[in-house]
Amino acid sequence: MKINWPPQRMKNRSMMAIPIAVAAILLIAMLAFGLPMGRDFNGGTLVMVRGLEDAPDPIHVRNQVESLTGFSVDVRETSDGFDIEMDLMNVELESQVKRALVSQLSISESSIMIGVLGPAVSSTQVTEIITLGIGALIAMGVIIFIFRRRTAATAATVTAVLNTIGILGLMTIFRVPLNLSSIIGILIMLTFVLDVDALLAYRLLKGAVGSPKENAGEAMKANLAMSAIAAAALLSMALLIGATAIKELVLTLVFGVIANFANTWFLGILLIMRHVERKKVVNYNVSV
Amino acid sequence: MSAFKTRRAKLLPIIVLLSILLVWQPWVGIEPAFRGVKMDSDFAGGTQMVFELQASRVTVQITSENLENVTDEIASALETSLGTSTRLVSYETANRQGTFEVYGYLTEPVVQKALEGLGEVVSITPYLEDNELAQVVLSLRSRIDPYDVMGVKIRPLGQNLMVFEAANVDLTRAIDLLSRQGKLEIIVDNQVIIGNEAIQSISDAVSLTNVAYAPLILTENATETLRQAVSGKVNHALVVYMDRPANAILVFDNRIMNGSEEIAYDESTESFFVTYEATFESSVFHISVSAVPSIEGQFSPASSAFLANQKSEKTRVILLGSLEDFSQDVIGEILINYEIVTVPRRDGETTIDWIFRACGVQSAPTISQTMSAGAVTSDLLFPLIGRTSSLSLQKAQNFQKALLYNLNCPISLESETSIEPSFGASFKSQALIAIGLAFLWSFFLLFAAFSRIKVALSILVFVVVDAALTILGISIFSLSFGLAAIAGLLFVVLSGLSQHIIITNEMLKGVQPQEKATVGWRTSRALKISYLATFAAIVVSALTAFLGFGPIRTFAIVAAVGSVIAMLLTRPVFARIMESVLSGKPKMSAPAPALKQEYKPPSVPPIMPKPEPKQQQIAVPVAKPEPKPQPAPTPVPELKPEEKQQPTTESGTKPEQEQQ
Repeated sequence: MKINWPPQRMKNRSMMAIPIAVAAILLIAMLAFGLPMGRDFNGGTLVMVRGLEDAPDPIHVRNQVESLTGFSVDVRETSDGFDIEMDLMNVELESQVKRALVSQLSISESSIMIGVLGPAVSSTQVTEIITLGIGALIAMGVIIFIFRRRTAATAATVTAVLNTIGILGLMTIFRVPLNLSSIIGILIMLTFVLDVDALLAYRLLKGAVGSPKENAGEAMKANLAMSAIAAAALLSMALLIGATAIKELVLTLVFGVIANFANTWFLGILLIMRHVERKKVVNYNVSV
Repeated sequence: MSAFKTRRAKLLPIIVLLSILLVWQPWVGIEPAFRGVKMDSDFAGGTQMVFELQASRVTVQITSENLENVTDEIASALETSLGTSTRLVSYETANRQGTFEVYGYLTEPVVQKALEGLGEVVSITPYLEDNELAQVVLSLRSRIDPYDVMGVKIRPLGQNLMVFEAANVDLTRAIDLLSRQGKLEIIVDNQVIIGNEAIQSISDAVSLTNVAYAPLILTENATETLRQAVSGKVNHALVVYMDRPANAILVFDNRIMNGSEEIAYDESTESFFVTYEATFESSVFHISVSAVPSIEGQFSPASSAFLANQKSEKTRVILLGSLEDFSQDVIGEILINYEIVTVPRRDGETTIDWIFRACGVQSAPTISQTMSAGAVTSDLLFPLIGRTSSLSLQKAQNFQKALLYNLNCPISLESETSIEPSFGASFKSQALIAIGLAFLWSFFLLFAAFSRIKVALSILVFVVVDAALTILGISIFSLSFGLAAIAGLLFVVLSGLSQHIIITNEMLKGVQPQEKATVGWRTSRALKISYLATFAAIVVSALTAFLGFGPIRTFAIVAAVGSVIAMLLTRPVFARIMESVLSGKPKMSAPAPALKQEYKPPSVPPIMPKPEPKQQQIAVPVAKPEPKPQPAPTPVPELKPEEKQQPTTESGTKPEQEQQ
């Protein structure tokens, strides 16, 4: 299969319909299943165990608590005990965890303190994040508009918006919680769009001499190489690194790379190519 | 053509070497480590401190017969007696119970006495509203990490606790900054003259020799009050307190007073007094905090009686020292009525400094002749003195920050412990394997994409160079290396990888083969693509750093720094190296037949660089890679890649007009 088959074989409407339909499906998935919000936004429960001379193995503690609660659990050793951080527990679950720590790990009840850990991101900061995302999109569009042209700016902005929907949708489907690390991942992907968009803009709009479809195909080969390498490298990190925050960041990036490739392949190219073809028709009419 | 002829290309290996040395610091230890970078608690572990906010919900069973405005009367009584703000949260008419939010250290006897017979205390529950907890987090963060880039984590725990986690912080300073409410009191002759409401503004701390100042500007009313208060009191002390423990009793071992001449204990007033030199004679001022001594591990009968009598006035006992410094008898007697807070002595601290710290005394200047004569202005400047000039400045800065970001309720340190890295001990080995695997994957895919080992290796080497230079940037900007910095680094690496692929691809397959564009022209074009994307990334990152917070801001700064380095240094050098790599391949040479005949120098001489006859013009790439016997390269003047040129077509004219 040739890399440039979508622009060569498919009609413009079909090409446009694919990413929009996928985005719509992912949006519905988000609405139906709900975007899993992480502890940075929702807060969680912190179990502090202090005053121990010999702290138990943190992996053993994690397994015990995970099997009891069914939550993803982070255990961190301290100088005289350990902390367990997990999603928000109800009172019943809290007492079960306390009982388990007392009975299975022989920890005295007075050494255990369980409390609701507040979110790391306040409601004001949520607004700031949204403002930031919109601001980044506008800044990106304006710069491309200044240095290239409106079509490229539109393509970059539309692709970035669809990428964000794609990332959030895939996070919903694969139940990757939205935390600050995922937000940073989304911001990285907003700017990742720039590379591909700049490449497409130069290939198709600036000094292009061949057929737009062939040029687009060449540009997409570079995009495929970029995306494949990024995805492979990130996936190996996601599989091998155990730290939850890094895993979430890397998975967000993998989703972003996939979404970006698909959206550029079908929609980004189309937006720029339509402009090139229209321009050609105008030139032809003028010369006739 | 040598890839290292340009200044940038010569500079790059030197900078990379420098960055490796600065980050590694082999003179400190030979084993590989990021010594020049401040690791945050995710990587290096750190310190966890839990602070308690002294705010409670007090439920009162109203016993007063007169129900009209009774809740207002209770709130007013609590405010007056406890010296803190109080507000009604709810009132249940059915059972005549009112719930009030009260800030401060509370015990049942103290609240009961404060109610003045209007009701009875049902319960006292530690509680602070969520929005107030969020406000406390903001204030504490502003004190310790105003730019939000130090990787400090502050999160509320439950309804009245704060968990603070950080690496690379001065613990003593962190405690001084975080365990203060920021309540100011200026006292003359044991009378509170002005408080926080008197402050109109406070300037940044300044240091002069060994003394530091935190200049205050008072409101007009406060200036007038101060003028009246100091009038005729020449040489009296103007004692400045921050968080004076007015509702606490200081308990000390009387042996600590041995050899201390400036400060002494006055049994008659159960307080300390300080002797100081005035103009012609010695003078004294009393510290407005109650205190009792323990003598040889026991309280005297008078001290025991004082402690017992004060249980409905005072809420806690401050032990000057740790629990181990006092006998069980003393601790047991205190615990009957009070909570205990300890203030251990710090290294090198004198007795007077220790007592001043426990009592919240910041400064005690004397009232001058002119001030007592009425020359009081709104600018108030008092000395803050530490053992060294840097400690003086630190004291003034702590004072200024606590005052500027003061809290509604008192805050106290509950526990302190060291924590292990949150990424776990095995993170380093996992990361190394993952990075190794990622490189292997990347190499195979790059080789598959370009079919050239040199190209694949060059791209990967430059990815490493990008990362090394960005880590140097992290080190120079003193950013903490944690999740956010890793994200920034990932951004730089991913963006570097993409742009190196774009540059290579553009140089190999950028425009249609019949154009016969020079390699220099292609390089210039490829770099333009990269510059546009990088410039946009820098602007977006700068905007993110400006609008963002915490880890988002750190990420954005790292991304911006990495992008700037890439734009100025690595991308141009990479393009030049790629030129060299591609020029070295015979199969990359242009099908030359037409070139020799058709080349025409540009018609406008001024834009032409000086010809360099030793170099060859190479047309790249070729549509059909079958190696053919090539004629000897035509000695035509090469155009430098950085300069703007137009490609020539086979007929020697410009290619089709650019569409823009």
